[in-house]
Amino acid sequence: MKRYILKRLLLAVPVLFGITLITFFIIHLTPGGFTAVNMQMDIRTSPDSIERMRHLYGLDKPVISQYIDWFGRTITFNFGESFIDHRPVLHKVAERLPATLLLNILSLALVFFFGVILGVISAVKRNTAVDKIITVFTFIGYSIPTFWLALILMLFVSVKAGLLPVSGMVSIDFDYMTLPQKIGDLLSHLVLPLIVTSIGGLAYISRFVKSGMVEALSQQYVRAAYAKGLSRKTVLYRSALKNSLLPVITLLGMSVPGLIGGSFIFETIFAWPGMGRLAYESALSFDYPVIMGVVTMGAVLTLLGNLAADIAYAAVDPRIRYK
Amino acid sequence: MNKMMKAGLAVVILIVIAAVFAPVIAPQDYRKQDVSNRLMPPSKAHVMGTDELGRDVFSRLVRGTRVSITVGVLAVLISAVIGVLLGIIAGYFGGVIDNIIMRGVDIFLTVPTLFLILMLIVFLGPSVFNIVIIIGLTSWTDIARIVRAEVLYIKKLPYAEAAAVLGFKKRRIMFGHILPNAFAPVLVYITFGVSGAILAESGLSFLGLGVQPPEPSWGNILTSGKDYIDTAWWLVLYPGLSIFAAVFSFNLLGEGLRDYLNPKLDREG
Amino acid sequence: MDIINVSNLYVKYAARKKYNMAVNGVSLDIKEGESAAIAGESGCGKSTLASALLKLLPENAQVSGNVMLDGIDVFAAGEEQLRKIRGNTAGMIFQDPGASLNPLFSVKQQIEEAITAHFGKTEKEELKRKSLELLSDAGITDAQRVYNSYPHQLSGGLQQRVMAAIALSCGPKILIADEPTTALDVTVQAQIVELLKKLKEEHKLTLLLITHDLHLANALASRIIVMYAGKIAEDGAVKSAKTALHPYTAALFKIIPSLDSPKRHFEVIPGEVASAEHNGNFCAFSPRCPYADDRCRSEKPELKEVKPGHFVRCFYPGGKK
Repeated sequence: MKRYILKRLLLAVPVLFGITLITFFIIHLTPGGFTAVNMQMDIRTSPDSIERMRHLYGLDKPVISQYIDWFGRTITFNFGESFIDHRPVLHKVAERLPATLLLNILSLALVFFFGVILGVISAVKRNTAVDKIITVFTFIGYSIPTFWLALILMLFVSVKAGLLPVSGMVSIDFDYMTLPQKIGDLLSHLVLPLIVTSIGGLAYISRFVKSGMVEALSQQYVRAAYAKGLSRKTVLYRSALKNSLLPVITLLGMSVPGLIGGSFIFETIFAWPGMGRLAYESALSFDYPVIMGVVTMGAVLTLLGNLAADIAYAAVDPRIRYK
Repeated sequence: MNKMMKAGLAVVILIVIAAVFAPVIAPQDYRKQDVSNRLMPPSKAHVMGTDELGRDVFSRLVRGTRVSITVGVLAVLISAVIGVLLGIIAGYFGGVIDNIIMRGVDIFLTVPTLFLILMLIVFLGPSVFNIVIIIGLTSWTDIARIVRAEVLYIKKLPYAEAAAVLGFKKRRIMFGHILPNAFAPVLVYITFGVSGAILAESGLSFLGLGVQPPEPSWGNILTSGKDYIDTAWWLVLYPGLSIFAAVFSFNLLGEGLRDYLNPKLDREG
Repeated sequence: MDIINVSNLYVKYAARKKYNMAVNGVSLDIKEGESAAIAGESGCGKSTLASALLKLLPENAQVSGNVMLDGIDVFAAGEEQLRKIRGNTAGMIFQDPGASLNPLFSVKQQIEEAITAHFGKTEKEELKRKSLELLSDAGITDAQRVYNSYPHQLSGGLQQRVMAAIALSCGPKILIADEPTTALDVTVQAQIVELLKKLKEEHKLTLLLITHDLHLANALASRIIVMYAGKIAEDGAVKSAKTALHPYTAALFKIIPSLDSPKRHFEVIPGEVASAEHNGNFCAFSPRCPYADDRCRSEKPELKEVKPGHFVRCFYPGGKK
């Protein structure tokens, strides 16, 4: 078990290394980049001052040595500071982290909970009307463009009906609220972003649970469990369910990057102060240190998610635990 | 063929026809502005209304079909070629080569693909060509994994071993025997890949990072619609429905193909 | 008294737009304490018959006829009653013990859930004592270790012993063993045969063995029921090819090399196994039968009692003409 986790951790190192390296090369391979974009607006800018600027940020060195510099600083948790507002990258990322974690952890929990319920119902009631309705729903769920769904929900729920706040994470007067009010305010802001982030994953996971459950139900040990005289309930929800959840655990771990990175579109729409939006803004303004910070943090979160999934998997599956 | 596949295929064919014969189908010139008739709700003259410059939304959506289908199909073809090649190489040679390729796949699984695409677009500049290349280069991992698994499976089958014993060249074994067998799962993934690429393209265009105005695409029509969301609902509804219909039908087709090509599921039914 | 009573059993599986017949009209009585074997090639319907006894058929199966186990109508039983039949009346062990044990649950969990399913909530200590007793009873010497193990940590032989312990955990009168040795090594096979013999004696079980191996059938059962194309071909105390009255039974004896016979050449019965679909007016085995004549090809034989307690579905029992 310890060896298994250690092995997983070791495998993560080259991946982390690879991600940052690739990102670094991508952002440094572009001809103009930061200096071109940020200094064109300024009429006083001379070629000389652009050169000085590039030198200041070390952008005139070869990419490899720039990467080595960056890597050396990063392992001491020094991510540098933003080109744009000169605040430390670590602070910028850290202040976005709670919003991202809050939304994504809630979303993962929702996806898992409802995905398993829908998937199990669909498998147990296979080929009935209920199963067909769930199937249609899942198809719609993962075909719907989330940014469009976000717009539609905003239009009908917030703008037309005025039921929920249009965007943001908290109201302007949040600081003056009592604790219950604060929680209520936060929750009301969470509803739409949660629906939008969860719907695709929900559809995906429920289909996965369904096929896992159908597969488990066709196994010999399910027949053997019935032969022992176990009730249908026990067989379905004790024996088969556990087996069908195994692949879902891995899948949840793997869904972390999509949640973090794919979220920039609707984080922009909902003005949700998460890392996705920070990534988007920093990419648009060629803010290299922030991009690298976000990518590194995203990769670390992803690998942590994978590790958590691996551990959960081992906890469920004795074949891995006792290896 | 099952019902799902038939329904999916029917809509896909409709969409492809719309893309190919866009100028014939569109009732009006998609570029024609008519500011006096701007933001008109759907009517007989404009079945899906007009946009902020008085252009016919339906004609622009039909035109946008071209971009979406082109991007979807081309990007997926690129990723399929890369994925199939890398998958076969990894599965066939194994060892160090396999390890390197699979670590590469791990990296792509760990990095948020959509964000990677966003960065590349920002740094390389938004254009249809760049979008196709970038989506193609970033979405080959699923196909590579599926092909690798298939190769590993087929390699163990008697006929592949027999072919190797008979002294056929490695390349011939790979392309002559393994590829035809891996075809079915790859086809399924290609179909799902098209819908993924269409989603990615429309998302980027929506953010202004994809197809650039005045050339219309489903995503960028939605962008302008966003600003008139409380007055001109048709600018938000129809582009979104178009994206949804395309993605939905390709997903249906993929799912139908999966059932159809997987004899195991068939027997079970 | 008959403890198993099957009458006019038909089982067919729904496939796309058609049905595949598996059991095509079987009637059968087995007395309490008897050991009987149902034998035949794969596809003859023997496993379907065994599953039907405990109503363990897949969802797409359609059944008609009647099965009585210890006086209870299995097909008419509700879920609660069915639960009692499975485990209390009859226990079952399966072909592949590795696949029959759930990989995610320990032996302890799997044996104890069977006990609690029938005896209700039981004290922890009592559960453990019972489980260990059942495991040692199934010939497991280090029962304590096995009790705490997961299936993947056990050998095939041990897994099958665990299955036997679970099957007997609620004191059934009948033990149904569906190809219990097929997936095991030859040496382990012999041990499991010994175990089944021992358990039958000690627990005064009625044993119903499902097998394709007539020598195994002979080792464990005094009565052999041979099935062909979903029907009973022969039913009686058949010991060898010579005492077989149906040419199919004789052929079955010949193709399987017995453990103690010096010549171990493999033979096959020529031709293809007839499907249970067969409803034509001829003997289902006639296309493969060396003795088949015009009568066999134009008339359907019925199951007839040729000697006391020995039934056969053949116009020429013993192959004589």
